[in-house]
Amino acid sequence: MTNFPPKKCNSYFQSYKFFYHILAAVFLLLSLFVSGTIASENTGYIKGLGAVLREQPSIQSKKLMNLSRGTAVLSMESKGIWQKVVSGENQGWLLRGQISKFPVKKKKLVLGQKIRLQSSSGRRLRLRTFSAVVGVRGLVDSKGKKISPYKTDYVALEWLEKQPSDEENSVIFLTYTE
Amino acid sequence: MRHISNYLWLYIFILSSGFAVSAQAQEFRQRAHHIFWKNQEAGTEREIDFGRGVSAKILGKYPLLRDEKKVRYISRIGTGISAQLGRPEIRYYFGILDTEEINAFAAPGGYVFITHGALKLMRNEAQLAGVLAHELAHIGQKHIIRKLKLQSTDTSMTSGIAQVLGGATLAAKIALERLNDLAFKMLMEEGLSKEDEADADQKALEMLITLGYDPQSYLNFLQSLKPHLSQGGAEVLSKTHPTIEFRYQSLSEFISRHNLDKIQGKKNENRFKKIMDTP
Repeated sequence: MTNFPPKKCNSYFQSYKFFYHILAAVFLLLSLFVSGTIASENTGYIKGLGAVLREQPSIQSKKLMNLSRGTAVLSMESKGIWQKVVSGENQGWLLRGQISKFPVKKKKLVLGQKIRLQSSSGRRLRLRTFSAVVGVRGLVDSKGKKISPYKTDYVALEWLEKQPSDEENSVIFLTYTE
Repeated sequence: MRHISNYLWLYIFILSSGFAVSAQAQEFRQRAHHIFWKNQEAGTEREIDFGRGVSAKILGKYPLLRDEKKVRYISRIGTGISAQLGRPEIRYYFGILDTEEINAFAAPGGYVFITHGALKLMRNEAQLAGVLAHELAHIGQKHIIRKLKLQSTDTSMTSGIAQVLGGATLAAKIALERLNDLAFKMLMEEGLSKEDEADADQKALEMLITLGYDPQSYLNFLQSLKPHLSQGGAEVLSKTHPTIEFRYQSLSEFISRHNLDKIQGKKNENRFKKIMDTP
């Protein structure tokens, strides 16, 4: 490199070749970025239980396989409410409502913190969240006026929250046909 | 030969610096992604907390029907739909409101309520699934949260709801309570936009088809609401929702646009009646 005549080197940097080479390099870099972005945009995730990959975009079409919650799929073409996807070695059609753009997150339950206080009727309540406490006691402003004019019933809400719920059995319950 | 070696060095330099830049960009993307998800998760917690407040107000207005058999049935249908098509990070609750008024509500964070009056009007399970799916679509699309501008878009870097509702100061608590009242008023008086309701109807129809239910049953249910709306049996519903004609029209357009008119499905009339006809 050191014995390289500087004049020649200079001529290379000034030549159209240099310009094209830079252009090619920039293009290469851009394509690296773009391909990465496109790949991530086309990736979808199976939202829930019971997603069935089908051969054709139709409910009557042959079932290829069941896809489990959280599976990553690559979206291809779409047709009406159907989306063609690739999952591993399998390729088929899914209903678009079953695909989420974002990875599946862990289920969040009502905040665990429990706060004990007496309600206005003297009943003992166990409330979990801050808004529940505000709801029962009533939040007052600086003049002592209640902020919210509406009545609340957290006891009923907690009754509802205690009712059993089982996702897998419910999905099976829904498959029943008369 | 010298020329070639010269180009080669240049290429190696550009390529290696290129890879360095792209690796850094990748790291940046990952970090941004991580922050985004942390915010989203905090947002989900706040959304549930917020929704609890709204739900408690709904239950302050209408009493909850504590009929375990009916509630379990509604909950199984609703959970079956949400487990497949709802937001996976949310646990959904399904309650029946003990009133003859005809309506259904969805509070943010997964709380769905249907009135006893609406259940009495239904003829089969497909209609029930359709109404629950409509409410699930509101929660899935975060219609109330968006209308309150607690979250600007799905892809915003910081989740608005976590910021607004996360404060511990009295001012923040007052702001939270006021927003909660606004959400409640939206459900009871103002309603969502026409577009949001049409969107929820279309998503409900799509969900019914996905689950193998008869989509026409949902349209029939909408039609059956008509006389009750004019007689005043569903005052809140008529105040907060677009007209049945508009909803029917937009659903019909959706059906013809996607060639869904020939799709049939199950109705499970007997199972529905067996549960609902018991006093």
